Amino acid sequence: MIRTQLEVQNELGIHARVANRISSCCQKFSSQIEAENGSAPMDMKSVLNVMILNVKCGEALTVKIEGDDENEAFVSLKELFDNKFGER
Amino acid sequence: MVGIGVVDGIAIQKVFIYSSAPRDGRRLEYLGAEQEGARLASAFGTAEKQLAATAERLAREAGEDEAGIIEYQINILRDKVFADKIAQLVVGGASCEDAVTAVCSEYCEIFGNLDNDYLQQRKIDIIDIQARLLGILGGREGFAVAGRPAIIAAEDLAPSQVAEMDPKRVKGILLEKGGKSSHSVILAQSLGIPCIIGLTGLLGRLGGHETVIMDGSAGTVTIDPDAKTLAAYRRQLEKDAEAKKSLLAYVPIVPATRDGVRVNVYANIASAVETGPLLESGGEGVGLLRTELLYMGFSDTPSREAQFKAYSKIAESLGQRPLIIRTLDAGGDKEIPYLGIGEEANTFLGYRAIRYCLDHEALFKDQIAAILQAARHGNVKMMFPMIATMDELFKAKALVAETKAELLSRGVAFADVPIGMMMEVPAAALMADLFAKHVDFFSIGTNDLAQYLFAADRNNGKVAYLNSFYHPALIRCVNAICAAAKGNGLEVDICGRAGEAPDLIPLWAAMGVSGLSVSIPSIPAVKKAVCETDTAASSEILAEALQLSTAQEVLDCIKDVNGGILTAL
Repeated sequence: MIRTQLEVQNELGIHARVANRISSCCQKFSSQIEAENGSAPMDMKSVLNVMILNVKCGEALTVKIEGDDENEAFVSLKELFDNKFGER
Repeated sequence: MVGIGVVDGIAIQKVFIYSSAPRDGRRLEYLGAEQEGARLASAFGTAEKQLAATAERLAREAGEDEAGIIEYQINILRDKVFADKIAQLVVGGASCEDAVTAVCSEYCEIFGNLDNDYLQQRKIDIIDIQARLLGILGGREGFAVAGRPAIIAAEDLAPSQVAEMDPKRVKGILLEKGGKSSHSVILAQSLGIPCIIGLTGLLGRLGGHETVIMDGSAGTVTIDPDAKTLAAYRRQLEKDAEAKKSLLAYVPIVPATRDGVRVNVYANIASAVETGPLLESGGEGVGLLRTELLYMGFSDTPSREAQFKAYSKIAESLGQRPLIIRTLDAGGDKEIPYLGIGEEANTFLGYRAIRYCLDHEALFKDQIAAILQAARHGNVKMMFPMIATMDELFKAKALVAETKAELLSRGVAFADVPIGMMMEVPAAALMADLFAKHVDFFSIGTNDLAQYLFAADRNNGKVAYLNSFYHPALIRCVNAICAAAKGNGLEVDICGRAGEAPDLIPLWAAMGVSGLSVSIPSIPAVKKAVCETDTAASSEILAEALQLSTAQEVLDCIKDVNGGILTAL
């Protein structure tokens, strides 16, 4: 199991287009991927959950990844967050 | 019933209710887990197909960015957590309709309670999906259902719903909620679909089979009218149709006054889908592209690339006709939650337009770059809104210069554009002669200029009466701006509603206004008013009007300006 903090660094924080990218990225992996932001853990394969996490620029999500491809999933997610989801 | 009429025109049609839930709250019969499960799966499949088709069409016609929000909705349909919640309720004995309604309401409540304006607003996507699923489950297929001409009645309309509308069949729009400057309303204006908003309690009075008369100019709705009323409105409708038909002759005409003064007739638009109707109505270009709508409603902050595509698409479809792109005019009554402008006691006097953009250089430069890049694809000009002081203009121009340098150093192709400014703040109007030395053109935004001149909020019904386009103060102010422009060899347009008032057009022509940018449906009538003007005669009336002291006196004075053959819009 991988437990990590991922910081949201794009100016606008998580919005619809970013939520599309995050949930689509998670759906590519069989591992269970959950995140919390001062809330109960939420399944990040759900685009609505990713929106509801309500993460703004500069805030970090606690992410838990568990499963056969957890390492690959972590690398992909980390890259997505570090690239600011392709935004500013 | 009386609401707020936002798009003029009369419509008499059977009503088509676009509601998000069964209105009588009756529980639908449960057909058993297996059958309900099959209905649910098929509804999700159909919804996804519909949305995919809309996304594809939007990407083609309006730019990929506008399609982005539809893709988000597709992702919601594919959201396992969302779908499983509904499926579980269905297995537990709920009809598909009840289950969809329950789960969507739950999500709406969650979104509504988040301490984030943007996310609260995105509740609309859930409502949109709920309406779509219920429509499909009820045997309706979105707006395609209104196979017959109809007046659409709804609580509010979401972006995807407006995008699906066929203006040939949707004869009118009635909304319980709705905002004057919402995308739905602005699109309805462009398409010339009569529209009334703020009709609280409307859906409760409708069963779906009623004939409805709506009068967009008066804001009135008559449900199941008696024969006498119906006949009276039919006559009015015929008269309006005839008047419209007689105006068609003006569509291909190049508008000039009787004594040969050329006045361009442009349109105000907000999206690429409007360029078709613009050209069909004889518009000679775009005098005002409101870019706010790219930022609000349909999508999130559009990327530089998305803006470039959207602007180039419009520029290309206009050919050599001018396209004046106004940089972001956020704030005022145009709320864009994710920009974080925040609540203000008086938004019109607050943090809006150029004031916000100068404070957010990255965002502003993205837009400037997109405009410069798009300029290679047409006759593009750039215009800054709400300039009050010379400092603001210099800062904005410096950012344009910086952006150009950056594009050059990165080897990105762009074209130079003329730079103009809106004349809508009285402080700038008073200094017009000096501003004229630093810009290539002016465009007078009469709606805002009036409200700032008279210190009367144009959205406040109690004081809005003060904002008269016929008041000598406004006439003098516009005249002074035009004189400053002419003195410096600048073109000056009018892009507010005063530009489409046929009885004022002779005065604008006499002042030397070079272009009138108006709503698409009024283009033919504006061309007609231009053609009937004689500037020698209207100059005399202008001189007289400039000496008058009340709006009523001006109205009396200009009554016969075009030989008394004025046609009301």
